[in-house]
Amino acid sequence: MGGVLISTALVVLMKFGLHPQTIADVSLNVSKISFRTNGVRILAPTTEEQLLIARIASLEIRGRKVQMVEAKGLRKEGNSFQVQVGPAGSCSFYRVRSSALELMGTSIITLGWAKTAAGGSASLQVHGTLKGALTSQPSGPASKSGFSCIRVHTDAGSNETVEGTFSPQGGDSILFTTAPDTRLVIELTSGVEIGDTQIPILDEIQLSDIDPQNPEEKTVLLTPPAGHKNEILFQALDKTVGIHDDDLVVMRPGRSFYLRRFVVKDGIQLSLHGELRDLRAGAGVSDLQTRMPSLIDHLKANPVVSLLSAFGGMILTVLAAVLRDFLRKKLGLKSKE
Amino acid sequence: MSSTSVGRKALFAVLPTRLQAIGVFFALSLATCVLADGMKEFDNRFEGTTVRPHGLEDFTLLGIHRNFESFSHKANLHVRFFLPPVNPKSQVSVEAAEIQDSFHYFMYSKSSLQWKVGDWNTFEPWPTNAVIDALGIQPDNLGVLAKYRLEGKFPVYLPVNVYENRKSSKQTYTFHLLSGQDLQSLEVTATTAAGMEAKVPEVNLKCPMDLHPNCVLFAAGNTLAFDLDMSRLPDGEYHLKLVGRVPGSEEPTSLGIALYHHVAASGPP
Repeated sequence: MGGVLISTALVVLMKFGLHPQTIADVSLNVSKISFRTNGVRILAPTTEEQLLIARIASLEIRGRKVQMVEAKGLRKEGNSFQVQVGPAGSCSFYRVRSSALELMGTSIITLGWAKTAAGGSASLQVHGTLKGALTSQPSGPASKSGFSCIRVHTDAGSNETVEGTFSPQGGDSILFTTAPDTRLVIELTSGVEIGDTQIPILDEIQLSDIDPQNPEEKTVLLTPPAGHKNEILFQALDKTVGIHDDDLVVMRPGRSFYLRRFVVKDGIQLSLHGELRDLRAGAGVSDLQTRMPSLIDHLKANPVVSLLSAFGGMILTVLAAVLRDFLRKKLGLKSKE
Repeated sequence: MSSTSVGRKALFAVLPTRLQAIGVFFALSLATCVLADGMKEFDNRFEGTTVRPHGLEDFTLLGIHRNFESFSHKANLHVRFFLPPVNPKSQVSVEAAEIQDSFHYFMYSKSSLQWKVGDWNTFEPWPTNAVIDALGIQPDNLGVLAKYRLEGKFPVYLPVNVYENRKSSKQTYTFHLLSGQDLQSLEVTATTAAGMEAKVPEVNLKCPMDLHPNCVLFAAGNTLAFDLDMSRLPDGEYHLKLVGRVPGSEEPTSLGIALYHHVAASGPP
């Protein structure tokens, strides 16, 4: 009787309680994602109409004909400029192509997307320092290639504003370094998208945002574009689990988990892949439930393993019974029967 | 070789790995606790990570600094400000937050603290090893506000001098804010509490519209800062008005800030 109860309890535990770590493919469309990474680069090269960098520390411009105007109206023209920006300074760049951004050590990255009057904007916030390179593009019909910076150290003072234009034909180089906490905003005009691939993720990811007017966590999931779904594919089981577009999601990665690809355009389309220890989703913080396959699901998906497990279980049961009888005889105990 | 010595050898072979694992576990637990614990209570303050109700505002004031001395790990910070003669029922407080928010760090003083009216006050101790060091918050990413407030009235801010050792001060204040909207320009004007114009150097920041017609000076979610030289103004309450223009829109957005300016000829005592 006791054996039956224990067996039943074990089956229930295996069905509902044990959810082994497994490889997963996670496809989600979100407005925001924050994660810790030891990746060394982020963002594939892209051409931007407008790029804003808050808390930029220094700037080096090398070009053919760079013009710079300081706040007091002082005009300078040359082919090389060094600009030192104060701790709360920022710079905007117009019509530039950015290279991949270099992350200096382990960083906390927050990617964001927001709808704007011009279409949309992508943001990249980094708790860590960034280095990057920009190349000016030829001026267009509606906009010129140039830059403006505020809170700059110049000969005239420590918190000045400077503006400048790059060579009309483009090709000037700009190197920048940011302060340890920085935020980049990229204007996404029609057809422009930014993204990257193969970014390692180190810690838990919480796909939720906290509404400042109400300390409840809110979803950051968005309805995915046509042909995509918010879902998880567990490859080993060939099992797909859908995620509701309004759910909160928490992922606990295993040893190797990657942001395999992300594209920012009408949201952030995420493709994550790797070992998942747990993935919970739900309508609210108290409703988060694991979406991981149970041990039974794994056993069902692999009959050979299932058979071997059952066989192993039987052998263990027999061994346990033999051991019990042996101990009883050895200790001189009598069976209740 | 006895079985005991074999057992000991095996134990010592395994022990370093186990200790490493335990060390890593405790290190991670410590970082997680700091992040997950929320607010912690100290003698003079609450400090930790929390969410403050500001995110939907067009402007959020994060700091008004007279001077902010950089500090290293294990520093003990002091926040010094002048509290004018105010209604004794006024609530005086000191608070701090990250300027570029990564961890939702927040600190606020206890309401039970006693302050000297019409005199310089120092909020201390504020050791950085309690929370700031563990989170890795940089000195130039910390905004500090001191204010007094009478119930039902707007707060009046008191520019602060934040330091570890040195009590230097200046009459040019640095304002740190968070922009909730894309802004093409920002203009700051000052008046006295009676509404008379106060003469301060012009603050009128614009992005270059000749380069890009829809240029953005400060993007939504980005921080902004400006300096205001009030050294030529006498002591008193002043009202600042910030007016921002949103790209592609005729509708301006604004914020009013009341602050008490106190002239400290040779810096605070």
